Amino acid sequence: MKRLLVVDDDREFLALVCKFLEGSSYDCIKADTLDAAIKHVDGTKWFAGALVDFWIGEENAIPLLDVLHSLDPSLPVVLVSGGGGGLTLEKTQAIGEISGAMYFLQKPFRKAELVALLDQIT
Amino acid sequence: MLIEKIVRETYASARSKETQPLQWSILRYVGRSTEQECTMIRIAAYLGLTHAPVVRAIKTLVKRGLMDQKPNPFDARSHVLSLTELGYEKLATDPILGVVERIQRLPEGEREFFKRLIRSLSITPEQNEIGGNEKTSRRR
Repeated sequence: MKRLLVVDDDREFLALVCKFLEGSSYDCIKADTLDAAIKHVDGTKWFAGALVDFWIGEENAIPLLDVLHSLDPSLPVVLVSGGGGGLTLEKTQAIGEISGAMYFLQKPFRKAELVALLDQIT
Repeated sequence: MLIEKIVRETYASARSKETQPLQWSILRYVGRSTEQECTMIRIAAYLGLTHAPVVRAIKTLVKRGLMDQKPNPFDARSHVLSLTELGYEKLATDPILGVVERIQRLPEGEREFFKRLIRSLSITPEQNEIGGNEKTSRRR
């Protein structure tokens, strides 16, 4: 099984993503805060990829993206957003890309889109 | 002012026959998205725009032979967009690539500093936006 870090403060979204991936080759490791996510990536348990919502609570995911990129610049990171916070999705994606998140999914997305992207990049 | 100058130089011509910044944004989106993502509604949401300017820009791009539209296999009420061969050729001349090339020529330390600076500027709201309308600032 490939370990996939899934980070979002919306627990329903976390549950839905993990349900999407049931029966696939991915083992979902969920985190609903930045701190919890950063604890998961302490370097002792590594991941095949990460799916990270840009907005986590009142914070953005940039500190987490920096940690992931510093630990493994080649880690496939998918940034997810539905917009908000005064940023367009175009801008959010660009911020993600310069922070090492080379893939982007616009909410809402279909199960098929998620699985196809993960299969392509992990 | 320097940032404004760099942007102006990037899009050297604002003549109506030239590809405009919004049209470039649409070409980039369609060029790197899957077919099912390439609907007018998703593009408008991605760019944070109302439908009208996006529809106009798409019409122009289709008229110039840079994009095709066909019925959406997932939703009979909409169309999906794709780049034509000419559209891919156009995308290869994206003026933003010139900026990328300039940034890549910077020494590594300056490049990293620039990256962090531009990222911070991008997420820092303008003074008159601080504490602004809660509805518009709330994220999804």
